[in-house]
Amino acid sequence: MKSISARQTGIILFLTILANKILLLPSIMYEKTKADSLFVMFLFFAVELFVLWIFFALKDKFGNKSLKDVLQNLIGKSFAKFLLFVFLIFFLFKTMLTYSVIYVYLKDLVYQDEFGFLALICFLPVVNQGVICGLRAMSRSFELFFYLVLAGIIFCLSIAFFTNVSFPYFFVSNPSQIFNTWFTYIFSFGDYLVLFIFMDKIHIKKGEKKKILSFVFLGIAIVLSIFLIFYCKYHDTAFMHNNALADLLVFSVQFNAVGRLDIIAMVTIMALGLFQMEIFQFAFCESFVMVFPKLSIKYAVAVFDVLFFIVYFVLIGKYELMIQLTTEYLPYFAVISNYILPILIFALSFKHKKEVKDAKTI
Amino acid sequence: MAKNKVKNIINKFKKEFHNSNDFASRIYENDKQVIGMLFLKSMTNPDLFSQTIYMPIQNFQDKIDEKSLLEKILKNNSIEIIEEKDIEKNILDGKVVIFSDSFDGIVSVDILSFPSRTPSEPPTSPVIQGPREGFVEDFKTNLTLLRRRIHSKDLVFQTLIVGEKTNTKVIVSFINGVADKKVVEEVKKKIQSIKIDGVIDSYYILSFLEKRPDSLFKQIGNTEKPDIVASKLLEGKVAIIVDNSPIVLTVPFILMEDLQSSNDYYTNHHYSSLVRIIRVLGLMIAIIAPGFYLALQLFHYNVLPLNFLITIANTTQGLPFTPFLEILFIFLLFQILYEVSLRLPSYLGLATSIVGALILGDTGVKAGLISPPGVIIVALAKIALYTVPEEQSQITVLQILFIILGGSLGILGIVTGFVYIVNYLNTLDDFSTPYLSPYAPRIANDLQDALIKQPINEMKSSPQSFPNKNKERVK
Amino acid sequence: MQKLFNFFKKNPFILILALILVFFTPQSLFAPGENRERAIVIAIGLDKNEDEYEISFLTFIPTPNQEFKQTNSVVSGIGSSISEALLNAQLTLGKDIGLSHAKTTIVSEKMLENDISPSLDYLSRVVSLPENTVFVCTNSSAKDLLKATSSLEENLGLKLDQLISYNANEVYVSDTSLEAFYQGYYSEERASIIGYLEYVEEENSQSQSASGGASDVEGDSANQKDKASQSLSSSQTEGTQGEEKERGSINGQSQILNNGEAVLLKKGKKVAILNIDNLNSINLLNNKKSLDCIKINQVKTEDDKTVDMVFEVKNKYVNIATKIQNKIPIFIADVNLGLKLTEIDTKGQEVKSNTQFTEINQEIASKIESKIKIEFSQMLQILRENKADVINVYDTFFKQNRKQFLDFYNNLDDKEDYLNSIIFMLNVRLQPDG
Repeated sequence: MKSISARQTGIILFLTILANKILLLPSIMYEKTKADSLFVMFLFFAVELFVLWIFFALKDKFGNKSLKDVLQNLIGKSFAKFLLFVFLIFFLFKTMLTYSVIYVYLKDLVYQDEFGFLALICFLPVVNQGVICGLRAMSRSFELFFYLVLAGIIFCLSIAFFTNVSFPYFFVSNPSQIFNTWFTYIFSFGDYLVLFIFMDKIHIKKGEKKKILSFVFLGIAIVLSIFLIFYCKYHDTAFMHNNALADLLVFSVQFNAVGRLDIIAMVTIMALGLFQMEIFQFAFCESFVMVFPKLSIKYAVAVFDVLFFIVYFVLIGKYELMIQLTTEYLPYFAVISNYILPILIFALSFKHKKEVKDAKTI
Repeated sequence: MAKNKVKNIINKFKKEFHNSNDFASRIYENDKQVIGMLFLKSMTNPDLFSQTIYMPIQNFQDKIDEKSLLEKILKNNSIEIIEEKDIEKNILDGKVVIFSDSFDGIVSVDILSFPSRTPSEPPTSPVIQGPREGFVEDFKTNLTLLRRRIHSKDLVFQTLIVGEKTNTKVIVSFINGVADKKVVEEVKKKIQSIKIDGVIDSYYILSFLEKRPDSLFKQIGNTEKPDIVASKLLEGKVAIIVDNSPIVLTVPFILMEDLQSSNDYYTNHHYSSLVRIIRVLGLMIAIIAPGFYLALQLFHYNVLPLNFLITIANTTQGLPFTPFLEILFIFLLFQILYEVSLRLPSYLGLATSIVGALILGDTGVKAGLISPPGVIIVALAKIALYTVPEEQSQITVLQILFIILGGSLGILGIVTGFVYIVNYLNTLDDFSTPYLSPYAPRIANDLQDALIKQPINEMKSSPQSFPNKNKERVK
Repeated sequence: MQKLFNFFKKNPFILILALILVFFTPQSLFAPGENRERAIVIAIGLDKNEDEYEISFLTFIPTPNQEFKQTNSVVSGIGSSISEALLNAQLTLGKDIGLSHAKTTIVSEKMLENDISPSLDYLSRVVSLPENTVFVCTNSSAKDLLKATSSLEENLGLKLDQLISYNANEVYVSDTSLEAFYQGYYSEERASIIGYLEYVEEENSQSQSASGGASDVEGDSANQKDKASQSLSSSQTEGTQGEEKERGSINGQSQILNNGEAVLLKKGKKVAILNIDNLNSINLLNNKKSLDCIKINQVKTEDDKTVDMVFEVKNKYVNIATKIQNKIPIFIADVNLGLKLTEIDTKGQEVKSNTQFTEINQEIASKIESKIKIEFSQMLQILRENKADVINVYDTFFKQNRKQFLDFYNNLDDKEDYLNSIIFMLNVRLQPDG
């Protein structure tokens, strides 16, 4: 069994926390809740940490069992398959959302033109290869790139921080606005859900939960500081800057004295997007294999690619629409899979425990 | 009748060796007995033959038998009694085979001699301070070089024979109790299963040891220096020495080994850390620089600083080539010059450097065929390549790959290509050794001798990136 | 066929590479490079003549040379809208326009008569004009200024963006980029400051260099003209701000005059021109700027002689507090200045006092204080007249006294005119320094 270590799990979570949230979110959230978006983020992270706690609890209880086994134990075979199918659809959408966000970013900033086929031939083969190579090889790559990503982001942040920044004012939006925003962008969250999918492949030794948590908190801290510095820098024009991380740099280097340093942000974001897609596609393929146990992971990858092409070129055709779709029509779906399903599994697991105890007493 | 026995054997082997020019037979005949001798003139020392074998036999008065041959007549060190079926092998090994009609046994005497090099500093890995010996083609000398460095009864050399025609000796070497037995067994199994007509150099068996022989990347370490092999044996690796090859292979292999140089261990560790970081930078520049430059020029002119852009625009204005063709052209030019300078005799080297650097480069720029920034970028990449000379061939292939990716797809192509390669490298785990360790996965213990090198006394335990048994090194 | 299939199955990378080689490599192999396909624009000018817009580009023309020389030319297009003008300019050039290296955006005063933001919006969103481009206003046409800049660069090596960035660092302190304009434009105050350069024809410039005044400047209103001339004359007599004044003579035809002036914009429209003293007063409240000089006239020394003194502000610390009394907001600024006497204009008399040991006595202090206060009130007057809050009064109240201030603010008849209802208190404390 090719399992991954606690450190690698932590890094996967770190990348997942980062990837979607630093591109579009800061600017589109500002439009709705101004600088209070920071509180929305706090809210998100708090709720999400509860999901992580659920994962740890399940892991303690079920050890190295796969999600499929756990679900079959709890709710029976057919219902387990249904739940896994929900996860499958969810991860399909998440991969596409990530792809759309990265595509729109690259189109605006890097290629300045439509480059559909080029982007596909860059992303899909690499992501597919990552998935076929397996979780262990993938997470080793993440481990290697972790330092580069971290260095890139900290570089962007520090450059931005040491130019003109001033605090924005907080508490300008009311709670209903905050909850509204929270609901709208819920699709960009659900970071810990991937863990459930490959919970059998995660190998956590005793006392290593702290390691995972430290990476999670590092990720949260970085996302929050990106939000904060971005708002400190742009205030009322934040909504004009779609690509938060890159724009932190563009405007920092005054009058192009050094040249365009945002190439660092570009490369960081490309890598981040790629890794994020790999993680989500792997989650998709894992749930696919669990739903259709007779098919290998290569079939799962092929099915994913076909679905990907269909959704983009037949149904929607435009990347911006994908983002709109996930913010306007699909949040309910995200709420169910992000929060309700984990809680449901957790609640059911209590029942399971009782049964075992009863069995023992008898 | 008895006389016929000797003649029969001689005739038989003359036939088997197809009356080869260097196949020699001698018959010593007196009234008591007939003694026959067979050997290869090309593999033996004629003086030694006459002085230590033929003359003593001639001078011996009594009847000769195996016992007297072994104890009284021959003063040579390596004498053994062999069976008839081994005659051919012994002759081929450069021994003299002695037989007679008066006794049954067959005696072989080693007077092997052939021209060989003395251990000198190998041209591929010179050191500033440190041992200058290098392996030679003769495997016995090589074994001596290793044994001289590790005076231990645990140092084991095990000989295997590979090659149906060449019958080459392949020696598997390891330190018992340090190397992992599974690795040793796996190596031996792999070598034994080799079915090949001949092994000329250690590179012939390299592909058989690799898990993925079709891969671009190096999966087996190789070196010409006994000090490097000795230190790798101490770490628990297995060395494979092939007769007639100065290159010794070591397994398991990780990429980090090529970023380390033996020099690093003979200088200040701060300096070696700095040099290793520069090597990584050099590696990255060598692989990516031309492709990156091309990507900027073709897709992302807006990323270039204005002043640099102006220089590029000015110098590329009016060139007959497009940027892609220009880079390919310069790359080809450099590669041809490199090949030529390798093959040419050294007295012509000056001529190539004049033609290459002065005439082709300078005049090319002046004539408006190629642009100075293009030349600088390709030259930089080509020079940076030699910060890691061991990976020279791999990097050159990657360079052309990244030129295609950068030129066709832009920066996105370079980033995704890079991630693809790293993903691929992470699937390489021969002998359960992750290729990119100690960084992926992170092995905290081995970071002491990775990019940042600790002083030797701080390296308390053996590397844990690959299986070995010796946990403690410094106490 | 089976063999080929197996080969690709074994080496999927080769398949991808083959795809790339087939679909992408041929077209980029013969592509001339983006820098040859696009015109690299260094500066943009926007003009408006009656109903027509004119957009001019200072573009870089690549010329094969080894001397790293930059050859520029000005190209322009006219159209009924900015996008049409841009298309026309592209037609003239025969190349696509690449705006990503545009360091300067110049608009004429006429453009600023209406809200400038929609026109800029097109450029920054669609044509990707970078937001860190320096935003400058000029009195005559932007095209003329660009032409003047082009020859200025060739002859003197003086670059327009350097000129402006010096101004931005030393005079305005806040930068005057497009981004800064937008930040002001979209804030509650809706006011921002951008740089101002004068373009003067040759006949005028001679008289100017003689008088040093800007009396010939064509202002839109008499009011502005007065202020402009006032600022120049004061700066000339004081003679301490010489560094901000740069002149470039272009082939003896025209001049670009940089007085360190700035344009005050409200809702994207020009409302006033601020001179250097106004700007200094604005920056009095800004902790970031400390280097400044204060000159006071007719000070009595120990030996009863009247001299002029120049003090340099060595350090500055500003503390801004707000309070609301009887529903009237009060804006209190405590300015602590560390001063050093740098020059004494003796006016031909023999003066004993040593510049190094002169203390700041009561007389000097009161004179400095009153000078600062007068200038501050002048500045405040301009801001109040134009309802343009560029000193972040709204922000400060909002941060410090939000509830009470909003009560006051929401009860105002004219909400934009809140500056007039706020009481400003300026406390100046002086210390010798150095």
